[in-house]
Amino acid sequence: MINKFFLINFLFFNTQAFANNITIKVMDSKQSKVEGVIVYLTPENNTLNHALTKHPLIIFQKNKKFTPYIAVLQKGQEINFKNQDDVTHHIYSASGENRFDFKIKAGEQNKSTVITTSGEVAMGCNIHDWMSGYVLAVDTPYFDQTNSQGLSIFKHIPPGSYKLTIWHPQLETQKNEFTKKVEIHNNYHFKVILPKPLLPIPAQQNQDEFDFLEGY
Amino acid sequence: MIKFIVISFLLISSDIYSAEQSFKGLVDTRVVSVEYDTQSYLSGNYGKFNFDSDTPFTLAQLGLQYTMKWENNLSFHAVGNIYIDGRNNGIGLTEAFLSYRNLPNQNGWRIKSKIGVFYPKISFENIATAWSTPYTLTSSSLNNWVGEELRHSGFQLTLDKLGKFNKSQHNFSFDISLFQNNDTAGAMLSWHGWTLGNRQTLLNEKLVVQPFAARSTTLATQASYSDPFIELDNRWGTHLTTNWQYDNYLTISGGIYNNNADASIVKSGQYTWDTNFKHVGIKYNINQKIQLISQYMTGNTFMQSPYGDKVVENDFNSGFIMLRFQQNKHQYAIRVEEFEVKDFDSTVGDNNNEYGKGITLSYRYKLNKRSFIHSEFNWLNSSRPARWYLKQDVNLTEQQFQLAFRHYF
Repeated sequence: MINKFFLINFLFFNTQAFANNITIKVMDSKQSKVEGVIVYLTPENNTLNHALTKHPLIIFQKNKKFTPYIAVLQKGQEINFKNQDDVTHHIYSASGENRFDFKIKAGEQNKSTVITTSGEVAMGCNIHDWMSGYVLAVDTPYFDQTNSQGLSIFKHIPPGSYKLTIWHPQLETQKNEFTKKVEIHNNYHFKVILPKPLLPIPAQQNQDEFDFLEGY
Repeated sequence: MIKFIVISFLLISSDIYSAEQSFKGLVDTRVVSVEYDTQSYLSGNYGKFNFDSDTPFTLAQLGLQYTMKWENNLSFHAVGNIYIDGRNNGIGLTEAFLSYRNLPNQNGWRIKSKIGVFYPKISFENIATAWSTPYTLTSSSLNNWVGEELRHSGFQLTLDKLGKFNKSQHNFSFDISLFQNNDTAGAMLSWHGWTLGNRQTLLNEKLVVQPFAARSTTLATQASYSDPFIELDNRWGTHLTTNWQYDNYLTISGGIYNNNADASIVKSGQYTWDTNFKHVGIKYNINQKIQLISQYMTGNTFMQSPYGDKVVENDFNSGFIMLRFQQNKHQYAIRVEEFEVKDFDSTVGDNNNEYGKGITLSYRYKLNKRSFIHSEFNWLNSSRPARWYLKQDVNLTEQQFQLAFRHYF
């Protein structure tokens, strides 16, 4: 009896300790779901050992656009750029500590850079000024981007206090983010309503569509 | 200037292996039919189109662009053009310059510069490979003059403000150019007036001057050709331009040009012309399919005799409005334009007055990414009293039809 009790208790506790599944739904003030925003959870007690996400984040240059336009990675993770266009791009980031620039030739697939500081990485191309892309580097392994239903699902989150952050370059708030303190002790379903609607995402399109333009 | 560019290029070429070289180009072959125009302005006559009426199958442009880009944001550009139309054939360079393009800083400010021989930033039409216009087979009268008589030999400094760094949709650009070798700018605009076409003057070319009456009297010193890219007074001209772009559908630009020539000089049959003008342009994407492009220019040019009296003095202005409709592989364009030269001097035998208006209808079909079939009809009516010197009607209505195959490589 006692053994059985312990076993059940252990399983229950174990579920609680290591298998909290958190669903976060991001909506705007009109109750419409918001797709593509970055959602991440930062433990308040930062002694947790953050395992590094090892696979690189892949950003394509296709039709003279950054694809995806917005992405998230963990500080220390690598971005791998793949140029699928038949022209050279000169990719740069002018953002604080995460400055970089390099040329990537037509079809080149393996230009990489490691993002060592958390924060926004605003990327552009110094040849095609309309190209624009964002990567957010976060100092936590618990990050995601909302799907078409406005949902982000996190599995196996250890219990504790967290700062939930919603980030998008077109979110017109301070630092483009919206934060909330959350306590995680069980499976939870949070609903977040953004304080402001997102601004329109830039089209990454030149005013003239012709393929053989020069800098005249 | 070219010598300087070549030396600089050779010096930098020691680092040649870390550079990326590229060749780009454009082949433009056409069948041309011109009516009511016995001879083109390029042949020393008063026809407004660059092809003569008996022009057969022509290589309207073979443009070649060589670019070498180094890792330090420095690049070298040379643009050459070949024209074979049976009468005004030519081969040579149209531009050669070193260019520096810094990375923008965190607030979106960027510095760019050019040194060498390059086009002034005026045209909203001539934006593709080797200064070709993708919209039509002819440049408007305004930009055809830019291609004929204007080129900056000097230095250009540009300051850009890219709005996206502050999540703004406003982009700004400011340019200042200091140039030489444009002391005769305005001569051909005075003596043959505004023209329509696709012929750019090569840096090694000279332009035939029309045989008006004063050429044998007051202006007998003028050579039978004009050298458009010559330095006579060793003074620097200035060109200031600014550009505002809103999002990706509206661009407005403006500029002030002053070649700052000392108009009292005549050397080897070439007069210095003091030429000033202002220009404005708008490019507006009304929706995904329809684009409006319009430019206007107004200015003044004069030259003097060695005794200081104004021999030729003209005001000039030209403007066009173009509407483009693009759907899948099809592009339709209609351009209307109007131009004028007002003669203020009292020199006998050199009447530069002119008034004209034109309409262009153009259709482009995209065969594949690089190749296009392009057809165009131009109608141009102009009144120019100087035609009387050649016993021609003062009023002339010209029509031109062209069918082109264009391939960008």
